[in-house]
This record gives sequence, C-alpha cells and structure tokens, in this order.
Amino acid sequence: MTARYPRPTLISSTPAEEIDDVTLAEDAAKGDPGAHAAIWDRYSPLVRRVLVRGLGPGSEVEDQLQEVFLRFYRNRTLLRDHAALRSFLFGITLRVAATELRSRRIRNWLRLTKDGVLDDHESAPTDNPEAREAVKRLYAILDRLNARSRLAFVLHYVDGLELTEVAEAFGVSLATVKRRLARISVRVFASAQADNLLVQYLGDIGVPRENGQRRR
Amino acid sequence: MTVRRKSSVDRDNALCQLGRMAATQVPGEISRDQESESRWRFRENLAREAFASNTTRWVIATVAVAALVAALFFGWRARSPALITFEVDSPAVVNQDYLLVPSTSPSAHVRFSDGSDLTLEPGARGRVAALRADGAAIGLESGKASLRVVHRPETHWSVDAGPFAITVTGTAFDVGWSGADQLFEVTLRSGSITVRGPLATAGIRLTAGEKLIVNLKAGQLGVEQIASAVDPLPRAPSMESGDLGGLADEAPPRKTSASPQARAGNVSGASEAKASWSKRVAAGDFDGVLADAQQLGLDAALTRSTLPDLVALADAARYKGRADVARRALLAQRERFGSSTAARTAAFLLGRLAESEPEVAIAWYDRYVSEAPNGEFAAEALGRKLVAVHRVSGWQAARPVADEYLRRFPHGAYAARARELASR
Repeated sequence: MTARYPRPTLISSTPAEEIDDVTLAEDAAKGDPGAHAAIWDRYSPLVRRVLVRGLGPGSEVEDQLQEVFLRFYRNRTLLRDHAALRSFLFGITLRVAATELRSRRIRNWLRLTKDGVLDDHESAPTDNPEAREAVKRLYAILDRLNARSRLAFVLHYVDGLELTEVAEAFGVSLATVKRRLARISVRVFASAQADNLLVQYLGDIGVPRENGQRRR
Repeated sequence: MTVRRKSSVDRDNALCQLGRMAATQVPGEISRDQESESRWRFRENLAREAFASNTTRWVIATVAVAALVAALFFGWRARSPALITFEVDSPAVVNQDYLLVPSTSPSAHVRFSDGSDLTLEPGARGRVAALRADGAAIGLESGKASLRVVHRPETHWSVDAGPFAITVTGTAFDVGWSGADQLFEVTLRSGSITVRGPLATAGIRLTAGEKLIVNLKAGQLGVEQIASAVDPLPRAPSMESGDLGGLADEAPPRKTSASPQARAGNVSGASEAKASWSKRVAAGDFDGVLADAQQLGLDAALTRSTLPDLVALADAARYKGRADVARRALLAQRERFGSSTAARTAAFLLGRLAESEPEVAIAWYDRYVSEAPNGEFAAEALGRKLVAVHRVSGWQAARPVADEYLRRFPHGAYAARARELASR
C-alpha cells in the first residue's frame, strides 16, 4: 500500500515558539499536518491537564487526548477566528470530556455500584495521603454535578481559568457563566463545608464561629 | 453559636484555595517517554486521517463492511499495515511543499517511525515523496543528505537525487546532488545500494566503504574506496544492544569528513572542519553532537573528551531526552574533573534526572548543596529536595528541610511551600 504524503514540511530558521496561533490556525485550516503537529506540541500538555482534572485523578485520558486533536483536524475549517485557537481547542476538550463523563455514568449504572460514585482510581503511591483523600472527596462531590457544571467548576477553580475564558470555552456569555458558577459554587461549598477534611482546605471561611470564637 | 454569613467573594476565595490544592495533587503530567509515545500515536492517527479524507466515504464503508464480514466469517480481523510516518526535528514548521534547510541554519533531521532517519545539511532541498508500510521515497532536489535506513526483511526505500535513483533495503549513506554543477556523489557507510541514472543505466552496486562520483558535465563516473566498512548495518531495535539503545552499533547519520583518518588520535569532539560541541549545542545542533559521540564511540567520548565537550554532550542528551547518555556524561564530569564547577553542577543535574526516584534525587541534591552551598543552583536543589522529601516521607519529615530553606532562602521560589509545611 502506498500513499502520497500530501504536505511535507518546510524548515526555516524561525523557532516554532515564535509562530503565533493565528499562523498555526491558518496553516492547520489548510490541512497542513506540520501545523497540526505544532498545535499538538503547543497545546497537548494543557489539554491533557484539563482532561485529567476534569475527569478526575488517576483517569486514563490518552484516548480522549487523541480524540480532541483529531476532532480539531476534522473540524479545522469551522474555526473562523484564527486568533481563538486556544478557546476552540478548549471547547472540543470540554465536549470530549463531557461525553466521557456521561459514558462513565452509564457504565457505572450498568455495574450497579452501591452509591453511584465513580470508581476510585489508583493514585501515585508517593502522594500526600491527606491531600489525596481530600481530592478524592472533592471529586466525589463533583461527581454529583452534571458534566457541564463539573467541568465549569474544574476549569475555573482548579485550572484557574478566568471567567471570560470559561465562557469562551463553553460558547456562552460571561453573564451565563457567572450565573451558573454562582449556583455551582454554593452547592460545592456547602458540601465541602460539611466534610470534616475538606473544610480544612477552605481556610477560615469554612469554619463557623461559636460565641464569637472560631471553632477548632 | 453565631454563624458568619459567607459573602460570595469569601466563598469564591475558599473554593479557589480548595481548587489550588486539588491542582497540586492532580498535575496532569506524564513522563517524557509517555509524551513521546503519545506524540507518535497522534502523528500516526493524523496520517491515517489525512489519507482517509481523500477517499469517498461510501468506499470506506463498503470496504469496512466487507472486512467485517470476512473477519466474522473467517474468525480473524483484517488489518492494514500502518504507513510509516515521520516527524521533522527542527526549530520551525512552515507551510510549504518540500524540505528546505537555509544555508545559515543547522542541519535538519527527519525521523521515521520505523527508526530510520534522514539528515539534510544546510542548503539542502528535498521532500518525502511517498510513504509506504515498508519504506519511503525520498527526493533530494539539491544539496547533501544522509540517510540511515533500519534493516528489516521487507524494507524498501528509494532516494531520487536529481536524475539518479538509489534503491536501499537497509543501509547508511551520504548523498549529494548539484544541479548547477551536474555532480552526483554517494558515499556508502554500511550495507549495499544500487544506483541507476545517467552513465549508470544498468545500475551500479556499491558496498560499504565505497564512494560513487558522477560528473555529468565531464561525462565521468568513478568509484573509489574511502575506507573499510566503518560500521555494521543498523538493525531494528529488537536486535540491538548497547548503552546507547542502539546508537553504539549503528552507522553514523552524518557525512564522514574528508579525511578518513579523522577518527584516530584525540577524540576531542571538535574536528578541524566543525565547530566545537559547545558551539553546536548553543546553536541547537543536539542531534549532531549526539551523533558525533556515537561515531566516536560513547566510551571513548566519555573517557577522552574535554570538559567543555562533556558538558555539551550532557546538555544535548538532556535536551533530546537521552537520560542514559546524559547520566553517563554527567558522571564522567564528576569522575574526571571532580574539582570543577561543572562537576558540582553535574550533581544537581543528576538529581534532576533522578526525580522519578526521589531517594536518589535527594542524595544528589544533598551532595550538590554540600559541595556548593552558595552555588548557582543551591536554592533550587534545596527546594527540590523539599518537594522530594515531602513526597516520599510526608510533611513531618519535610518540615526540617522547610525550616532550612526558609532560613537560607526566605524569598525563594519554594518559600511559600516551605512556609506551608513549616506551619503545620
């Protein structure tokens, strides 16, 4: 079997890191595999991070990571504003993550687990056990949210994205994101405050005062 | 009991704090090997995707259905061999139709998924004309290139250089073509090839150590012996052994120097015609330096190179993810030039290389801090030791390290973490 390789690569003296997103996106829109490879190099660590944090610690995300960039290749012409490459990739990442989360729920339901929470994945043995337990409990709270709410929470509070970036990633207005995150944060905060381990990570805010004194 | 009302800002800040903790516990990072594997997988997927998008969907569906039926009927699943893919190890990617290395740039390297590689020298122009499951077709439009093909039983590669065609099955050679001068050269370093073209229409077979020169303007063709066969035929990884993961026994990808005796004597790594390893690493020629070390033989390079060359070799190896080579080069610096600043820095870098084994990393950081308490990397070494001790032994064991860090580097990069641990 033989294939004519469509677009070999030009090598020039311009470092890859000096090529902006607009140029990469333009080249990628033309189907240039070199541009897609460069976009992978630039954004796969970020996408992987979002997937791992969105799907939960210990999650295997390699298939989802590949899917994100292949979906970008297939839908490359849909990116109209080439300066919005990062947001576009975020959007695809969220859709892939949401699909995976929904699939997990269905698989979990079919396995008829006792409490409906997702499987506990093995963590690295050298982790801080207390923090690891806290993260496990946090994700148990997030498991009770729907996929979009969970991912919005993770993007803003764990990945640290600004609200405008979260809005762009979801393709909604800033006002919509603020409204949704306000509802989500009330719910997650209340659950975390009720957990005797997680409350310690909420700082002073998480601790109710008793007769004017802070409860220990 | 009075419950303080939580403002949305307070709640937001608290959740940010919780989120930051979660982020440190879920970094989402992988090893360099995993990253490389993931990257390769994407390149292969992308190549298949590009091929498939040129075929009408109903043809794919029909073939898939037929294959599925056949698989179900015969009890096996049909599978097409994967096409070879390649990646260009170069500073930049720009949308053009061929490979072009400016004369002012370092050599460019093309790595193929079967382990073969192509080096284009400054000023060279060429293209990967076709990809197959058992090889590829390379076109050299102008300039000089080195091709190293990994031998496999069904390997079939071809190189077109101007009007000349070279068929290869597993070999390493340098090839050059100048359209202006009508001059063709090929130097075979291992294996055998057959060259066809003007003045060689019946095909000329070359063996290792032979050089073919064809001057079309003068109508002259000649084969000369440049050396005895210099290296064994490069083979697929399953048949290789050696410290360099195969590099030690493979033919070098770069063109040999004009003097076949250049390898004798002092192996400083800096030949008369080439810049020093230090300069080449500074210019980004990591592969070239590693290839030179392989050509010299790693053991020889480590025992006879100058200190600057050892430093450059270690840097090149670290950049290219060759931790095995980097480790040996750093250890050689410490063994041979123990009193030098570079040797002390090598201790810190050995700690960095060993971070997947925290106890080993901690030992190296301790050694660096002991040898160079005011060294350039003292703060970094102590900070990384803090992280490693915390990871291995928990916060109580890390607390004394945190105290020391805060005492010595109260405004350092790890100060916040040290304070957090020290306050527990």
